[in-house]
Amino acid sequence: MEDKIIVPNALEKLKADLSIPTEEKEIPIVASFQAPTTDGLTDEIEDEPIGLPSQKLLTPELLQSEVSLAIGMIDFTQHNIFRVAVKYKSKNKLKNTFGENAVERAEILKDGGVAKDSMSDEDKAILRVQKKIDEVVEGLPFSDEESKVLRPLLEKYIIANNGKLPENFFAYLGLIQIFGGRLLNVIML
Amino acid sequence: MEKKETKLNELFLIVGTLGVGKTTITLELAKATGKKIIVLDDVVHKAYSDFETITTEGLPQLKGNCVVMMEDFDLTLEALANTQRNACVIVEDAGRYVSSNISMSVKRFIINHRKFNFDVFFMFHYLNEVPPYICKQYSKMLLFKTGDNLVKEQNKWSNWETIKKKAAIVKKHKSFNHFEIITKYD
Repeated sequence: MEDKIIVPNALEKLKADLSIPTEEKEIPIVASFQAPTTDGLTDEIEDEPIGLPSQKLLTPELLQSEVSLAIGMIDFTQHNIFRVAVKYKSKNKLKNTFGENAVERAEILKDGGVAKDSMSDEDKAILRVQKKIDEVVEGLPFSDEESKVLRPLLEKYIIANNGKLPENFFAYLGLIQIFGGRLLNVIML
Repeated sequence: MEKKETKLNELFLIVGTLGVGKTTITLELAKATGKKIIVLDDVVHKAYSDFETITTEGLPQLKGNCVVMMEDFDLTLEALANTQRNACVIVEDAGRYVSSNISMSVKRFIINHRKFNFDVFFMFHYLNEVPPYICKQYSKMLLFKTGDNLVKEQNKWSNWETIKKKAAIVKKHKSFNHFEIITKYD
């Protein structure tokens, strides 16, 4: 690896470099939030049977893109709900086991605020619990295996809905978020 | 057909103490990219007063420049990855959200920023609060005056001697807003 120092007046050059375009990527959400279109299902199209136009547009790439988006949205929702639950439970676990200041102490220890050889036995125990909590949090997003299980099911669902995620998919996700949040509030009373 | 010239996305570190002009310069650079600008923070800096202010949940509908008022940094990064492409992402005061042991969400975001066509600007107040993982991944750094103790070696930087030398120049410079640019090539 080679380092290079740029002279101080290089800001304009930096801006010029930044103005060179980077490779454009497809924005997944724009496609996903469009309601399924009924264009082409009018009497004006006489030569094509109803339903075929939209099915023709569904290429394998588009289907996979829609499936990935659906998995991303479901993952975001479940991650959101479980993350709150884990945070609440972990705070309680730390407080109940090590006392009122354990949560703040865990943060300091996690950020490397105390040298290893200066840690007390209790500090080490707090760190062990915190590590377990972090592992649970990091394991919340779907794994590749979990995504693989969902993929064929979602493919069928999207094909059955003319190649698009229907509006009620987003409504269900919204409801899950609201119900999930309320359920957590009740459980955590 | 002639192939259009493109370049790789950048991961900038903007390091400097309060009031040195980090936000002003960063915004200037972000505008130069021509991409929409997404600022992650939990307060709105006056430089972004003409930006739309949204929450993480508003990201799927986002079209233009905005400040995302975050409640949870990791979740916001996941939402960005799931819902946005082709943007400049500015993480204001990143030291408040990123600890030395960075989370998997931050790591994934950094690894994938080119896949999403994101130019990323992480802003820190001190060199010593930059997590080791980001020290290895950044492409360019704008170094302003910081409160770092430069005598103490920071092994996490592969180019510490260069940084130290440039930091000394910045420190001695009469202008409070002076900065040096350091690049790192693979």
